[in-house]
Amino acid sequence: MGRNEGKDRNGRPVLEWIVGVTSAIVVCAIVAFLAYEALFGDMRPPDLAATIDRVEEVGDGTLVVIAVSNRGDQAAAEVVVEATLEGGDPEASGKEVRFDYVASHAVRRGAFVIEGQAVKGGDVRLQVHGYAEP
Amino acid sequence: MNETDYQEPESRRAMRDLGRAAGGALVFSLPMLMTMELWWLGFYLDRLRLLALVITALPLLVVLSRYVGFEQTRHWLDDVVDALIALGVSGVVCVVALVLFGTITFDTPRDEVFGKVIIQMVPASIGALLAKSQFGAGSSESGEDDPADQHETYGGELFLMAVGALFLAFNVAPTEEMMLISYQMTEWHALCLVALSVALMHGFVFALGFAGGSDVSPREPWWSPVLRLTLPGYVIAASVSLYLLWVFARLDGLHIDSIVMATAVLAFPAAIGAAAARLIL
Repeated sequence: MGRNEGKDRNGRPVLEWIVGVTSAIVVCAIVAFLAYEALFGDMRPPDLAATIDRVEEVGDGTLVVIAVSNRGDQAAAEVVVEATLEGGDPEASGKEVRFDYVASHAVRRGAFVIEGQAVKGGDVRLQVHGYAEP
Repeated sequence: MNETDYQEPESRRAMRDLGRAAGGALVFSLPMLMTMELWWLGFYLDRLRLLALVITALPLLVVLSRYVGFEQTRHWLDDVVDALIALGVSGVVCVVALVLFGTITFDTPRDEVFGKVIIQMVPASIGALLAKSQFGAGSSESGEDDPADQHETYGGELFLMAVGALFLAFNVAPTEEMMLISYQMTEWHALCLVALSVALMHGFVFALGFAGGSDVSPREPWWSPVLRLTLPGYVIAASVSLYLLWVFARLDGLHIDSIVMATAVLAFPAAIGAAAARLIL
């Protein structure tokens, strides 16, 4: 009794077809997304910008957390960001942070540690030096 | 009737059982124990994600134990105990290996030790369970316990695929190469990779054959097994990949485009693992 409930005429549970069709929709969506990006997506080179995320006092110094964003459509590797302190101790200037990768449209974070002095966000000037292809 | 002619002493049997589990754990986790990204993940990985990994691993191990377990009639509690034993044996194996490699020393902070061991324990315990189940099959009186011969449900097939995907993807998901490959590729490369993954999966599914209720009969049209087995298998592989990339914090700060690309890259080995689960497991 009820042996064929929820089964198609080949005796295959309908659930299998539901799972199958749902999976097919998901795979089609992945393929459609990639195809759309491949056909209509831009291929602009990496467009990197470094901004100060926040400034925190730690121990006897200051932590300057920075965010590097890539508005381009290609990933960048070995991104070097330099921080210069305006009107500050020249020894604390010229610090560098290196990011292994910044993917397209991605944001990566890092921090400069400036020892022995309190620094305000406005005193720090950030400069992106360049990048390499991954 | 209930016992075989040859009976080992209980203690010796238990020792052999544990030894087998330890061996299985080692075989499964050695590539990961010797990968530095996994050591690093041990100390920088968000503890919530580590917890999520363990919480999802536990039911997976219990169901796996049920699936490849010794007897159909056994109680769920036995599977829970088996899963916990597998985790325990894996823990010991991972600690010994990491100490021998000098990755864990007396100076290593306790938090880091826990992180490093826990992240390795999960794949190792899958190996421990599978090795143990083979022992169970060998000592049983009927051949029914062999996972390949067990009557299989559709859900069981998909579950086995998930374990296979997890096994292979776990090896490579934490490495930097996964991201690097996705950065080197264009969307066209990714499209081809998705197509190849699905095609290879289908080849494996056919070549190895899926026994049991969902067997592919010659009367069925070609698209029937594709729809019922291959495509769900690929979705499982992609989901496992996405989950692992999230657990290993590889997707943080990424745009949807990069997330899809990275998932497609990891889904390639995951799909092979899912389709070849029958060979590997």
